[in-house]
Amino acid sequence: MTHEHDRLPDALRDAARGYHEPPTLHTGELDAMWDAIEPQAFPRRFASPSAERRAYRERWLSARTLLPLAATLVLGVLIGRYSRRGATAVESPVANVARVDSVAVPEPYQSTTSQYLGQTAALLVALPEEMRNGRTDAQFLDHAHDLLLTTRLLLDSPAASDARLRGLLEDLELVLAQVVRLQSDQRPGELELIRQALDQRDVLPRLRNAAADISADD
Amino acid sequence: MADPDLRDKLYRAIDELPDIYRTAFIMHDLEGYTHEEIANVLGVAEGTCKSRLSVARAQLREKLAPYAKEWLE
Repeated sequence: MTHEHDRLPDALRDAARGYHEPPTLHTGELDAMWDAIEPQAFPRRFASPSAERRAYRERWLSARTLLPLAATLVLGVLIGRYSRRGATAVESPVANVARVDSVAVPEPYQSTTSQYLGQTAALLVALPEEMRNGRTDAQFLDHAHDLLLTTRLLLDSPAASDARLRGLLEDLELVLAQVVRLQSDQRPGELELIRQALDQRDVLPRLRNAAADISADD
Repeated sequence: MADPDLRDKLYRAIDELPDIYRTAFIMHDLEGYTHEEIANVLGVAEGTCKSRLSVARAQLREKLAPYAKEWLE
């Protein structure tokens, strides 16, 4: 049996051509159809910048990453205090310290400090967008609070033995404390105060440099 | 085939074809693609495509025979 021999009659084939024939659409209808399809087909292109930033921030600031960070720091601080109390004069502060041009952090603290700096940078970069609508969500403030606690733990750890990192941590403590004090319905001037604190002390560039230095040592 | 009722029956018969036969029928007989083109798109041998088309036509003839015998002869 060849397929040409079983051809359907022309009348039937002609009739079949109307099977699911697309309706005739005007330009306006086609535009409306495309407008509906496009955001679904290309979600990244049409996602609002705030949604992308929010996803990025949530990835960085999830409890899953913050809790191990805090736990590691608490453990580190306790070990540091305990070993300092029993240490003899032979202790060498330079041992196991990765020294780079700008920031030197004891090796056990490098990973934790690097993560902390990255998360803090993400939070501060997201701050203006967060406040643009005149309100800050509770989850954002909770993350800021966690990072403030981490800052204080780091200040109390050997990681803060580096003068430049200590200075940066002290500035971050100040800024994060201001962020934590933001209420859900903030006053208009508060963001400006935080922005001034960030600008006057070059916090973000220093933060990025320190994160880059420590990451390079990991 | 001006009779709308017959047209509906034809469309329904096409709807009832199994997917692989309906696809071959629509692409070849309605859209005008060659067997080679259909075989490439579907990732099957050309002979398979011809066979599917043949089965599709046979099933359509069978389903439509009670209603439009004169057109099928």
